Amino acid sequence: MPITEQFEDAGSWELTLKPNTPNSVLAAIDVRTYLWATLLVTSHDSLTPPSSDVRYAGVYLGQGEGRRTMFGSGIIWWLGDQGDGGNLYASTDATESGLDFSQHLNTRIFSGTLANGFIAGTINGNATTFQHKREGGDTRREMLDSICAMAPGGPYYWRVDPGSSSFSIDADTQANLWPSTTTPTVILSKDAGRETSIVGLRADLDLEQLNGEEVRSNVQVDWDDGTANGTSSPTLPSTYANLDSGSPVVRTLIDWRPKRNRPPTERWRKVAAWSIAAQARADVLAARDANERAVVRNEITARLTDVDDPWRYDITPGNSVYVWDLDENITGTAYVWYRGEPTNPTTGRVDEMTTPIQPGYGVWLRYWDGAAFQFLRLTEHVEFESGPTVLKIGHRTKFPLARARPRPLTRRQRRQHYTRARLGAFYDTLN
Amino acid sequence: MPCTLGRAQLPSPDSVRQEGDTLRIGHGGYPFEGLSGQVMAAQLGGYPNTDEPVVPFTYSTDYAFLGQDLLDGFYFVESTKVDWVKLAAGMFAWEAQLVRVPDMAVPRIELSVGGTLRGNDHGIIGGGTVAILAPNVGAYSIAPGQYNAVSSRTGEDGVQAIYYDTSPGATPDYLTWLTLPGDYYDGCPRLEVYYDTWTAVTARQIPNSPTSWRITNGLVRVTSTLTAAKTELSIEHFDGTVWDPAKVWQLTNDTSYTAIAQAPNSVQVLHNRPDSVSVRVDLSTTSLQTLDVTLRRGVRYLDCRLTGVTTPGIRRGTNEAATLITVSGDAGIRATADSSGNKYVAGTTLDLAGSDLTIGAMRVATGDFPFMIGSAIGGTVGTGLGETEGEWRAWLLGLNHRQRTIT
Repeated sequence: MPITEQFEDAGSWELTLKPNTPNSVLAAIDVRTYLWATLLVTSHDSLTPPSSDVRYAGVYLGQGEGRRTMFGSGIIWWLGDQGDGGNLYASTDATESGLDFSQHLNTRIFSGTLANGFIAGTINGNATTFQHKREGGDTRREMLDSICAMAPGGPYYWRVDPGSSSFSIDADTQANLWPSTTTPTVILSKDAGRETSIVGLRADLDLEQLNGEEVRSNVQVDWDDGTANGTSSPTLPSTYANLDSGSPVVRTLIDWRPKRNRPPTERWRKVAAWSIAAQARADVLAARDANERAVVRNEITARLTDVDDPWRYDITPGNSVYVWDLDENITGTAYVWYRGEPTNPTTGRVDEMTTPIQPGYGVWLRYWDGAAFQFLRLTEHVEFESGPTVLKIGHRTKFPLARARPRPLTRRQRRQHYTRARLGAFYDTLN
Repeated sequence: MPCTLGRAQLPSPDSVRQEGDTLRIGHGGYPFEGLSGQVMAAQLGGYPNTDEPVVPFTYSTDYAFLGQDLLDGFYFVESTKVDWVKLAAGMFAWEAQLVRVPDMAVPRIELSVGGTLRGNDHGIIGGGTVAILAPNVGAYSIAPGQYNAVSSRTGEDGVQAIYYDTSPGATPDYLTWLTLPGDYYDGCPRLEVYYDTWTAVTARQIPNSPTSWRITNGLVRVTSTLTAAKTELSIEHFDGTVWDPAKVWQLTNDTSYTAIAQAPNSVQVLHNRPDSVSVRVDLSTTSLQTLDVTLRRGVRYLDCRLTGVTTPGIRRGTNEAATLITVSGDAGIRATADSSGNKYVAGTTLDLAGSDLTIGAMRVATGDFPFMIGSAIGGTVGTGLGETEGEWRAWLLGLNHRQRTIT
């Protein structure tokens, strides 16, 4: 019953109640009555409803296994789920111009009841105006993504700040949202120990894959007319060569033409096409895309076994951490004095964190009874679990424009998630 | 005949059994004298050791065949047992279970090197440093990587090959060699504590003896000393023949270089490997003040870091005239002259906030204070290998490495 939080995506959660949970409680959480209630997880249990120490908030979407399993999605679900569902823009295509970043967000997301209760948090104040095009059928999530990706001064990112009664969305540069982007405060290594100036967490580190399939030597930009209108070339390492040691030509085509028919598998192109209204802008975004694709993608998995309440460290999705393991060749160019050694860790952004709901946490369900919010304390009925907190670092399933949305976990995957989190490394020996 | 397992000097076992690739050795109760039982128990108790999972085992016995010992070689330590109750009764009862590694007698040893230039205020980029790697004394069939300029230094254990690169490229780099198990630790940094004699420590199995530890790599050795409740490092250099007279260095925390009047509270072993040893000394009873001291193989400088001190600095225990080392600002000090013919070198990545050339003292403004203390043996002033500023430059490229056996 772990919580999975994802960078710029909804993630999921699941928890199981004890077999002897009273029927009265099971009736009180019946999803037929309390659908879309809010799950709140706090770092410490308390007898009073949570106020300031909410670590995680999710939306309650369903029950299973004799009503004792509850599952749901991250709170951003209220703007749109991992697929195309959610709070759709149900009207004809329209273009908005003359607005800056925060004005676009206020108009498209935070205006009236559009945001389903989210309020605007810290929004970057860049005052450059730009044009944004929306299409009938866009969810608010898609608008949020595309406005963040295309706004001048970006790319911007968003995160949800879980409160107890109101939830705000911050949208800003990565470095502003997560100061650890420029100054990581945590180093993950096989050797652990607290330093005076940095937190060292012991982690089993795996470099699971180095994937160069997406590396491109240039990106061709097609603008509105079916022919290539320009090329964006990233700088590749000199050791990347073609078969006879020449410059490799590995191109990809980004088609920025708006309103074309494309199969849904090419969503990311469509996302771009919705938003772009000028060739120059298309070229900028293509260049950014090309540079993202000039790097061999790696995926580091870190299992942290000794961590209770991971939210108190800067290791939640969006944060950047130092990772260092000389034997696994996980090294970089940073210089950190750590445990008596001048180490050279790499810096990676945490893209996903799966963490068990551990004993000691408080678990609450918040629902609206027609007149006021009620808080149902589930803590005493939750089957808590231990297990590692698993971080996926730097694997970048998403490019700035290519917001490939993972599908919601299937039932089987959720169970695997659960088993894996509970059994930890032992599970890997079985599979 | 006695045997050695890694750093542990053990008495003759009364049981040596081999089962496939597993070797079990031990003794049901060896009567010992003095402190030797406790020393052996502490050494053996340090295994298994995550810092050093594979260790050399030597055993010169009647099992020798054609002048060679069939059991000598490199083993993965699976488990060890010591009976501490019997030990109190004067009997050292012990057991060790070892698994041989491929090519056990003489496996190839690989040093994987990582690291990067320390951020500095002196405009030094990678090419301006002289970084050093070294195998153990007695290594042969050495295959260097980018660090392929070769030199040698004579230390207490003998002549050691030194690999360096005046224009170090990007890490990682790899250095491999062969060595006999008996030579494996020669010229390697060794952490010792004082029982009735200086004794090597296995792993991090060390008593909390903040004023009785010593690290040596045969070229330089540092001893924690305690004089009038001060934290001091007593540093000696081997000049090729003998250990030169020790030089005491004190930690300071004000602009007039008064030694910190606080004896160390504790010592922790951060790592204890044949390629590098590091300890952390805790200095304060009221706040977090630590001194890290690290010694790599083949170098003549100590890599130190003082944290938690407001106006951090170091000074010579007894005044010794110094000259500034200037590289885009003041980077450190060196001895002006030395009766032994050598010149000490102390430097930092930061720009000095002050120095006293009469005492031989320097300090930085505030914050963490990374520094090195070394010596130019022969006393040549210059930026090359083993010269005054060269020592500081060698330190400036922060190298870390791990050593293991490969096939």
